Amino acid sequence: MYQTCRRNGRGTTFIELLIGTTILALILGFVARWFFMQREYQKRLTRISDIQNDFRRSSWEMIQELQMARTIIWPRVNADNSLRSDTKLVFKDFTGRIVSYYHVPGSKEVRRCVIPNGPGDPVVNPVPIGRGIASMSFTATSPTNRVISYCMSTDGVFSLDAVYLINTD
Amino acid sequence: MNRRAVSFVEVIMAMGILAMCMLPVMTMFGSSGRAVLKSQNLAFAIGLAHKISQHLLDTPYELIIDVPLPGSSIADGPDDGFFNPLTNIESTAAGALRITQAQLPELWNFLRKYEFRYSLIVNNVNFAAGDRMKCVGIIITWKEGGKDLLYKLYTYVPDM
Amino acid sequence: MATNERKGIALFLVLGLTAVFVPVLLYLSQTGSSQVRLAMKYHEVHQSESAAIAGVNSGLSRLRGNMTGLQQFTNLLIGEIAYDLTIQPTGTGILTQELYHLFSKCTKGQHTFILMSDAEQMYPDPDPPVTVIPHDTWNTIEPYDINLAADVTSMENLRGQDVLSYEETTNYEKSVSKAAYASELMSKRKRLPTELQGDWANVVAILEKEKLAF
Repeated sequence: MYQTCRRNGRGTTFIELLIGTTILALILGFVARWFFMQREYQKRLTRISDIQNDFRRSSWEMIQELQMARTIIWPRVNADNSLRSDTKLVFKDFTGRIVSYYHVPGSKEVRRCVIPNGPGDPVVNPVPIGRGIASMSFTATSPTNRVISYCMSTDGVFSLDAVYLINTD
Repeated sequence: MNRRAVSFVEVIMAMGILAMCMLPVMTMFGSSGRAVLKSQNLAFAIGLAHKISQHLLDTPYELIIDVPLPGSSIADGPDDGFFNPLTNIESTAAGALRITQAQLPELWNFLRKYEFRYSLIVNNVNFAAGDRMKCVGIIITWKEGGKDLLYKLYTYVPDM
Repeated sequence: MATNERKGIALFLVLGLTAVFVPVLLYLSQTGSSQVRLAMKYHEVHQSESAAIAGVNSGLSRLRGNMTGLQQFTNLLIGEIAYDLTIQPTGTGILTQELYHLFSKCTKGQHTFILMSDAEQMYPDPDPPVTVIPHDTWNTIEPYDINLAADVTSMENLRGQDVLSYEETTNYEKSVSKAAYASELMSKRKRLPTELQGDWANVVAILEKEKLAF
């Protein structure tokens, strides 16, 4: 006994399903690829933004204090008057205390230490003045010891700047 | 006819609409990236101009002269007291590093990519009889996406 | 599928897409523009600082030209940036030099930068330019009014505290011998961060050599 199967358009054929699935898979593949590419791109942008913010913040903190400082103690130009660089800076601040900014490569930080110019213990700031700085150098360029240049870099992002000390000792 | 399924044409139309909705998103990614790049280069140019202004305050008065546009290149530039030489971890001039491809390749690449240059416009100003002062306009120029960009900073340098 | 069901699903899809895309678009548009805003703020900060320093230099130049008495200038221009300058006499020194407080202020956008300096104007002998000695220049980013007596007093007090601390330090330096001074500084070496210990002896040698003596 045969039952006639009447086509009434209620189902999907296998071919249609196959074609639809293939098209969907292709589209999803393109979208997923594009999504992951953009995610990496956005991560890179966010990283660059964060680095810029870190540079700006630490630059401004250092500039404000250094401008009013009295003299650069370290680094000093070489005996032949050529420039000299170091990863630390030591200077006398406005009140005559000895202050140092120094780079800690392991934690990518620039920290500040105040050394009393007389009796008393050195005190390191609990909060670093710069974060996320992979490399930092301070350069003495003048025998007057009144200008200090610095260069910061992280992941191909750079910051070059300098400060002139307005006061004298 | 009792149609209970979605036809192929409807699916294609829906995907077309989805693609149109994705277009502004894709454009937005590009423009936010350009804005971050622009702000990175602007912040770098601000630092360069500030650096020059600080060095000028320690430069002998007579040596402060014009550097006319299009300006002096910072990468592969001459020894100018502002940028070259840049660092030196040794105790003699032999260890001084300049911004060249051989000595500071990463920084050189960045500066060459955007063609950062600086120029100085020097004018005499007079606030008082017998006193000498120069007004120096510091101009940093660079290229971004085929466009020439510029940042300006002014400073007074007294004759000390 | 009934027409109403299909419309319902379509509406749900549209709402779902909108709920996803609109926040994504907003977020993306803000990432770039926030960085540009921060860069512009940095630009304002540097411009105001440069203009304030230029203001102090222009004030000192005026004093070198033998300008005397209270002077208040507003909206002086350096390039396109405006700054205010106040030169306020504060008395006469033991060498009959005129003593002044110099205030230079620049406000750009949300940022203010003020410099305050002492200046000693010597007697013109016989004509300008006279010798002017500036010292103890101090900065603040608080939005004081440099022509308002109360704000000027606040700045003088804050700066005065720092100047007093400086005097205490210099008095100590002058009171000890070079050997004692160097010994005191070297004794701190072990308590310094490791990054500073290596070159501390060189730093102490420089400080000892340049110790204030009188």
